[in-house]
Amino acid sequence: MRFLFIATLLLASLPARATLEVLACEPEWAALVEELAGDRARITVATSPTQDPHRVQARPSLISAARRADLVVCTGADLEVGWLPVLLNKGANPRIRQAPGLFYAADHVSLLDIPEQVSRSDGDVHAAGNPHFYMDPQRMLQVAGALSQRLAELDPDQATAYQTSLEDMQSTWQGQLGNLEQTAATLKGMEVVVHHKNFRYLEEWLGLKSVASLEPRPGIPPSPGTLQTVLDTVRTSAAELVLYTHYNGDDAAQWLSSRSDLCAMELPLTVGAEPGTNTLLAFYRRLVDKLVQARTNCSND
Amino acid sequence: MQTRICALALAVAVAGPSQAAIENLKDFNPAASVILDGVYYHDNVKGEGLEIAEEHDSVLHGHDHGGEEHGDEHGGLDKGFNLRETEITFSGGVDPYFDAWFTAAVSDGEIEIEEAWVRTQNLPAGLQIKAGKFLSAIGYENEKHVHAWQFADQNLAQLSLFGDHGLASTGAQLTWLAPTQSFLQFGVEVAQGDELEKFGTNLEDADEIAAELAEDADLANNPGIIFDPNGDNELDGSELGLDEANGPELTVGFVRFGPDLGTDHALQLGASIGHHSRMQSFHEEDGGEAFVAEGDGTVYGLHAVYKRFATGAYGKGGLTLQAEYFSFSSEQDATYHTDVDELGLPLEMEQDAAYVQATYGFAPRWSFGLRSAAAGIGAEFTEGTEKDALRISRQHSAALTFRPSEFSFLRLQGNRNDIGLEDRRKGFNQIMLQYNISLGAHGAHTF
Repeated sequence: MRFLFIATLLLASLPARATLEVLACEPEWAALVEELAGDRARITVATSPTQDPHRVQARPSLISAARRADLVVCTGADLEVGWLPVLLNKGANPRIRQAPGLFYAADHVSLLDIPEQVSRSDGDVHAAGNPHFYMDPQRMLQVAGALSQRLAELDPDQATAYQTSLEDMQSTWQGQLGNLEQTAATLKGMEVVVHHKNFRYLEEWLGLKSVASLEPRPGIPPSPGTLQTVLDTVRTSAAELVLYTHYNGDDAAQWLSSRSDLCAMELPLTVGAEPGTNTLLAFYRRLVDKLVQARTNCSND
Repeated sequence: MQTRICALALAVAVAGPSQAAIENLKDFNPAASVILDGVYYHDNVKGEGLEIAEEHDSVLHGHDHGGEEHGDEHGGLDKGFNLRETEITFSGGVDPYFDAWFTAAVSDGEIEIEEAWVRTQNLPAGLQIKAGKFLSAIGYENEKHVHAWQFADQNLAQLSLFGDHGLASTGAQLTWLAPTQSFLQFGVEVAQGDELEKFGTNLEDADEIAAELAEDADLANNPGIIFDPNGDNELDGSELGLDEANGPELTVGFVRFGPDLGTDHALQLGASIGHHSRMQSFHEEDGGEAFVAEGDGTVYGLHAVYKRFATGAYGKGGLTLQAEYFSFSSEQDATYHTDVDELGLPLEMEQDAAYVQATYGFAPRWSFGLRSAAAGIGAEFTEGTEKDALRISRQHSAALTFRPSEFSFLRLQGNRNDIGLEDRRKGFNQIMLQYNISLGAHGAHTF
């Protein structure tokens, strides 16, 4: 009886194996796989667009997703160190424990802010550098090239299709990013305050200048004392916006904006975090639009 | 961590902040950590709280056992400052075929291996084999280490059936993970089970028991006053008729199921069964009679764990609900009895245990938990045709936890205990202020 039950489950869950099973750690990687593989991949995303990817739990259904996966696509650089190892160790799936079944995007780009020394006293510092690089579309294009090759390696029959998708993506992105960067040109040199350093690459891409973080150290929430220090800093700066994302909560950003000329601005963390951000390009456009608009509204106040 | 910092410094010095440095760090292996745990303890029973809880009425203590406690004082807490076990853990991948885990607990000059196992990583079809000493996957809480508990102490239900150290033994575990969208895992464990504290306990002190019986009855001066199998007017352990350890005695089977509820929630349901083939017990009766019994024991378990993940800042809004129920029974026969006519006297023991707990992240970094546990539920001890009901024991707890970062926490916990003892009930309160610090990197936490 039990055997029958299992057999039924097996049959129900095994599709015709024409598609690649992909487990994406964060929504941005699901979106990138979607761009490159379309319906040749069936994608499970480990985190929602409003969750803090540092603090995800290795919930049982993710272990099952790891069990079925042909490819796991993650940020790497230790961002997922608190939960991904559990999936890889308990997934009972030898294919995804190393390349080609395991793809760390961080291995294919250069990272900013690699610390010269690492101590927990400095908070949740990533020894490999700041891992939030998906906010820079140029780095995403580099990752896309490597990921496309990886998909072709795993699914050689479709290699030309992956190559075509990559070329399509590259030409579309180059055009649209040109437009976006034009729109964002006015933002160049704008000073901002950030809650966590997850906007580091956005700053680099658009030429923003971060003058302070609300978190005294990465992953440590701001206390009244540290906020006061930030307030003193911004009063002597030309900072215009304080940027935060959903899981930071808006308390600290609102506190600062109510005591200074800064405007608090919630930015979507990633693809799908807000309506109209369903693809990577739409997400980047949203970031730029929100920043431009916030700056206009803020200076009119 | 120190090594890791050195490795980084070296990598940076030699190669600059290059790709090579990143690679070196990522491959750093194994993860090593030391976990420090301390408790400031207070109760209103002169610091005897844990001893009283330990003496709760249970079929697993030996019935009417007036002798001194055999259990170690490992989990004992004194009034005031206590340094509890320091956990040292190494874990990581061995090669493409295995990963391994080692945890030792150090306390007051004693080192004890809590876990030391290796697990396969290249078997096909979702199979994995773990071998060595490990915490059994029976139930849910049993596999958790102290620093992963949501309360400062182990709940009374787990303690009553599996003791201070949990159900852990040396053996092998085979699991199969179904290739389904829902999490569905089946597992079996076979282990020696020869040093268990409660469920599956053996009489390791048979010689002492025999000597004590002979002395109490003054057998040397009163030949034949109690049963003396070889008639030498002395008793030793071998005359108690107990089986010697002979291979693995503990078998555990479990199934765990977790439907895919998306990224915001998770649920795990599980059922498990444990069987021990050589449980032994020692019983003293009023009027000086005493006997030793042996047989097998079974425990059935059910658990349910629900989590709603935090969407707020720093853990705010996270909710965990957790409940387990265990049902234990054992049938044994007297292999030695001071009264020779009672040899072979059948014993039946039954008792259940359960707990339910909830933890909620009510503010960034702060969580509050409530727990209610019961031991000795429906406990009955049947000796021949004579049936005795035992007293139930209850414990209610509240805990407030503050996590400065993922690597440290402080916790204030209060327990209200209502313990059923052999001859009365005893109510008392306990307060614990705990700190727990993870120094270094340890393996990521399981669900």
